[in-house]
Amino acid sequence: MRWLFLLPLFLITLQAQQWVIIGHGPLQDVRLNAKEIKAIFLGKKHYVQKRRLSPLNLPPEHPLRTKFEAKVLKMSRTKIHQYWIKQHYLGKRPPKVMASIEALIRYVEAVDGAVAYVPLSSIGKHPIYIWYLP
Amino acid sequence: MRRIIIFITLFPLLLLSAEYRLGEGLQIAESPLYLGGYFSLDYSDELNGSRSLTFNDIALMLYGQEGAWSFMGEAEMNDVYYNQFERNEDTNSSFEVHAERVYVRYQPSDTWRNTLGKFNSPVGFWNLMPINVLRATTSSPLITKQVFPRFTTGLGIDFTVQEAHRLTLLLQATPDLDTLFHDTRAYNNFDIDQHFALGYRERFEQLTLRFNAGYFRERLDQTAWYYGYMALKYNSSLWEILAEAGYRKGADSSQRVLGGYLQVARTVFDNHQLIVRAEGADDDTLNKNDNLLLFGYTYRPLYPVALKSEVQWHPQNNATELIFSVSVLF
Repeated sequence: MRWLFLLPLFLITLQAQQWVIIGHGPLQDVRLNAKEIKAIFLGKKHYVQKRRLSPLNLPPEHPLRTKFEAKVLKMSRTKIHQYWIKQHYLGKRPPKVMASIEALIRYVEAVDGAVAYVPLSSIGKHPIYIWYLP
Repeated sequence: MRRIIIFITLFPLLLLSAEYRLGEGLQIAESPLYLGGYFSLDYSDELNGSRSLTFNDIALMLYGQEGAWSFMGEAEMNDVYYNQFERNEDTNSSFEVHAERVYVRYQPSDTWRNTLGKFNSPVGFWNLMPINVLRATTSSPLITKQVFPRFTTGLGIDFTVQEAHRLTLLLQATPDLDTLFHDTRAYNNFDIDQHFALGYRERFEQLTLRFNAGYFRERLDQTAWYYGYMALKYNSSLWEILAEAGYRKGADSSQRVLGGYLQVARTVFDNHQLIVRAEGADDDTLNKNDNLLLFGYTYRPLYPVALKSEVQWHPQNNATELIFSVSVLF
């Protein structure tokens, strides 16, 4: 029965590692799939419910960004870099980079169409909505 | 010469900017505008023939986006410096600036996208990413320049369903945008005043297919042509396979151009790529039938910097040509 005492600790750890895609308040009932998220973060999908999206990234060295790129984009950092260099010739820009998770959440709260990946545990009582839970 | 000096002076200033990374463009202040460009220096040696050095394709791009609207402006100087060595030594310089791409784009949804201005004709794959630094080899396959107009000045309408399926309509009923600035031949492989075309793209996981068919008319002698084009691209982490085939036929004549190529590129180590290409083109208008086999090697110390070498073998006349280039995207 001793393992029961460890269960809350296990759930807290799991929640800290779990990440989600969040979006701005007015778009409450959005549900995305992994393919759509990949398209959004590669600049191939621009709209959800007729609102223009503004995807956000964490700094390159952030472990959550590394995890997101491997799990959702399924591309190495080198390939992603090459992809955006080609897009530069086509006049397209990569997602805006925010300095921290807190900054990401504040931006999503404030800006219509902003979309970002954050740890589930960081959402708290912020008025933002989960669009994707892996 | 003064323009080259200005360019060479401005280029290091880009690199000195704190936020700047080569190949990603420079944001102008806090505006949604970005500045970039590219250039290429090519050396060609036709063994038993002429050798030449060309400072090619110096281009500046300015682009930006605000909501559903975006624009691209690109001015280019082509063959800025050309020197042919040996027998008939010849040196040319040209500092004429041409409008390569100038367009406004409006994309109100993921389904519709409208482009107005001068832009790369969305035919095949090669023509979408035609600059030296971003393509696999210094030389371009023959048919990418012989079958359809590389640029369209007019309206492009894209209709996309679920990202994978895209229908494209091209409408041009005006001379090339560049003729507004130059009385001489337009900056396009065909100097046209009409171009109407339909395209379809189907994207699978690693495979993309494109089909195009169109009509265009040359401005000066009003010669009209029909064309058909199909292309395939396969991408994996190590391999890239490109195949394109095209056919052009005179609307009022039996003249035709027919050709195709198959190119296989393999990444061998990080930043190193080997390329093999087989191609052929039969052109009635030039009374020329050319086949060639190409072996290329590209090294990218950084992705936006390409050092390329290639050897072309033309079996008809058993001629061999070596081509080297240095190209940079900034």
